[in-house]
Amino acid sequence: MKCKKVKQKLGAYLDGELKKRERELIEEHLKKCADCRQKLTLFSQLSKTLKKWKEVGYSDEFEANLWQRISLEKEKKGSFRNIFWQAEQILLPVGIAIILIAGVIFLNEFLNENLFPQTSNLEEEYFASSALNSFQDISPDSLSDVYIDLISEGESQ
Amino acid sequence: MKEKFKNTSDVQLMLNFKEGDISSFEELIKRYKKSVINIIYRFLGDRDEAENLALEVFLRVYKSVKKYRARAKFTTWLYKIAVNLSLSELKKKRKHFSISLNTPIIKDKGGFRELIDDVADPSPPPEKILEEKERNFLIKKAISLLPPGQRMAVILRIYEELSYKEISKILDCSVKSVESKLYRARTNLKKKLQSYFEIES
Ligand SMILES: [Zn+2]
Repeated sequence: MKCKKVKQKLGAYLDGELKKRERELIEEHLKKCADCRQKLTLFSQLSKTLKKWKEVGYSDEFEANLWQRISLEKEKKGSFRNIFWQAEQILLPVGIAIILIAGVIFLNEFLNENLFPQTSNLEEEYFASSALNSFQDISPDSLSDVYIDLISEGESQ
Repeated sequence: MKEKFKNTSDVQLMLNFKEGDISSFEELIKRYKKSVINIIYRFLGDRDEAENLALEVFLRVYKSVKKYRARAKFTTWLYKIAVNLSLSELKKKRKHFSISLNTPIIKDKGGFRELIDDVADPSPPPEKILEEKERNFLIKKAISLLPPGQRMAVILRIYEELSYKEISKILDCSVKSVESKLYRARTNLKKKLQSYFEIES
């Protein structure tokens, strides 16, 4: 192993993070190389020095502050849910109404375009084939009667 | 009462909490508030800010308990939340104070109080206070000058004594990358602190 490679591994060596084979190679090299030994000493001194940076404590109110924050969060969430619930009370009926109206309009359009052209053709045929007087027999709202009349007339012809 | 959870694992506490046992959550806070505060403190440099952000960490634990699955070690999950919040806090600061990026200044409102809190001896001699204060300041400054990835790797390795594997999971990178971050960090820190620890030893 070359010095450069060894030096790069010295941290992991100190941290006990090397596999057995790698560790042995490093140790072999260290026996022969004063330069790398020196670097290992520096790294280990560095770790010791770094560890002297004292940790900070926590305030006695840590838990109390946390519970306060949790309840604040719940309130926020609660009020949000409330707004949503209120909105739902208004939006739901309005939504249903819109869907119903749109549905009626669509159905109307659909019937006009797809059903009535046919019927109007049939009606024309009917009017053409039969005398106008038979129109008098049909009440304006009984379209089915027209069909029945038309069919029976067609059959009889 | 306090010994109640002595033999209960973190994951078990979390599962108990998921079932509605608040005292299990309180036990987890007790176990890890110090670590969480100190990881953030060493990364950002301000004690009060660290405590405030640590509250946010535990609030997130509280909020996400319903989704919690015992897939990883609890601390991996917990520290990941702490690390991510610290990183986003750093990004926010950089946006606001981009001028100070090249000359990082250690801001430490509670410096003296911190020092008083930290010294174990209730009435240390004044020269000891000064020594401690100087050393803490030097280490803190050297670490604050590291790029964020190296800085966090050092904090998790040196102060939390986590394995490279656990660090890699927390930082979302490979074990190789942790190794190289730590190597670069040590090289940087050695340059900054060598004159100091050579005198010491
Ligand atoms: Zn060598």
